[in-house]
Amino acid sequence: MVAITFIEHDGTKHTVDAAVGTSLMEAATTNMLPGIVGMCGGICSCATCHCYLPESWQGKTQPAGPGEQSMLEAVYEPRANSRLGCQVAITEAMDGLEVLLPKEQV
Amino acid sequence: MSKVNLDPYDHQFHWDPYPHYKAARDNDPVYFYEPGGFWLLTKWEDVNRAFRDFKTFINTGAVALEADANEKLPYPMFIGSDPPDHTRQRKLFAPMMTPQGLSKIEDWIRQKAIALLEPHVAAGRMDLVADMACFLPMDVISNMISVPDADQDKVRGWADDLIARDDKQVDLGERNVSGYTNLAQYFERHSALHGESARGDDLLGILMRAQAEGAMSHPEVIGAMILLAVAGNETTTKLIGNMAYRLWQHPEQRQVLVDNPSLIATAIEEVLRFDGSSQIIVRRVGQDVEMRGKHLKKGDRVGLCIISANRDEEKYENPNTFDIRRGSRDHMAFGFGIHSCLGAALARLETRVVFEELLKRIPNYEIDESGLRRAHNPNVRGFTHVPVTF
Repeated sequence: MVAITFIEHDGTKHTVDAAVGTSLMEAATTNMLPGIVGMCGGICSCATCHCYLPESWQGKTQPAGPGEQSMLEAVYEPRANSRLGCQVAITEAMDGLEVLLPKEQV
Repeated sequence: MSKVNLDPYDHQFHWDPYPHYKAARDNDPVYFYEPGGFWLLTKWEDVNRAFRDFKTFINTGAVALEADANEKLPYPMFIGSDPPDHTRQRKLFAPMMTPQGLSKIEDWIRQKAIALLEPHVAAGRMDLVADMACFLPMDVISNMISVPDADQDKVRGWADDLIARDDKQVDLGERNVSGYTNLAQYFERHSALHGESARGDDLLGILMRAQAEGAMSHPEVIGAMILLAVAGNETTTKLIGNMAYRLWQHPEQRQVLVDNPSLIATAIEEVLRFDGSSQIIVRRVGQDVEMRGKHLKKGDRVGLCIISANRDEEKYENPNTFDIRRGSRDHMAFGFGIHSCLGAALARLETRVVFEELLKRIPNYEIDESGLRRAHNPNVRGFTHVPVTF
């Protein structure tokens, strides 16, 4: 297990233990955290698990594929470091990761 | 409370359940269905809570509404499990079920849809479900798990047997159990045939590799195949039928799609909201909970009436207005959250391709209403026959 911290738009922090191999979306929704919806359950179809990954962590994840990039065009306030949580697999190297959440998901 | 009469086992109810659901939302939204001994949630907010609060509303043991389902339908399906077990199995399939993962079979689906439509174009009449929509989803699923063409009719027939209910048949009957047993025996033989060899990146390869590597048990693999044959088949067939029916009822909106096929995807979202083919999703109560003054006890069965939630006037403006441009993103036709339909993108893809090809060829079809026939099941709702002339 690794520790992942989700930071809501208002700064509220939630740290959870996440299993390696699960996704950031699953880490949030299986702990019923606010700020991530994950409506489609991880098939890259709803863009409601939008999150921002700090630049310093970007090298530790696989880059967004074309399907994810296309869904990211539909999110609220996209940024260069926007990702869909369902497409980011958690690895050992992500222990301590802090993920910022947007103001709105839908 | 006498005004409310929800009966998902009543054949007449399936023709137009929406006024009954409205009465329930207004008068008794957390409804106890006495004949079946389970709860029905009808408000968007309550159904959404049940989807999100997966510890209070669990999937383990919730494969079907019927009390005897777990004994009579024994293979474990991952839809009937909870995290972390559920997450482990679902993860195996998710990458291939994304829109991107499915894009490589779009052309194949299109050729199949065209091949089903074309022979009828000159005749000026066809049955949109019995001649087309019932075949395509089974063909797609069969292709993914290597069921040969020659076996598709019988596999589809068994899936039909499993879901069919006589009027007011609240318990699982002989036909249902026999359909299930036939599916299970067929997939036992199928997995024995492919267990050693199938290692490709298609669905069969994923299942067989998962079994060989211990990621899924053998009964879980068989359960997943049965699930595919039912969930991947019946609901998409019915969604296509429901869309054909609603577009015919609203010819001016159908014409908009004929003129602007790029709007078909948005129109599908409105059909999903307005008349989705999955009526009720099942959960069990994982810990005692009170909802709107009703006390739901641990172990109780709960039906989440998603077609009612999707017409909730507290959620949607003019919910009974069919508007292909509405574009609501928060309907729950595929469920919501961690158990949300794994095949949602596939259902959307198949339905889009069908209507792109159908409206190109027969834009002004007329439905013969006297020939409409329905499948009758508490969960899946839609037509078996939609006869049209053009």
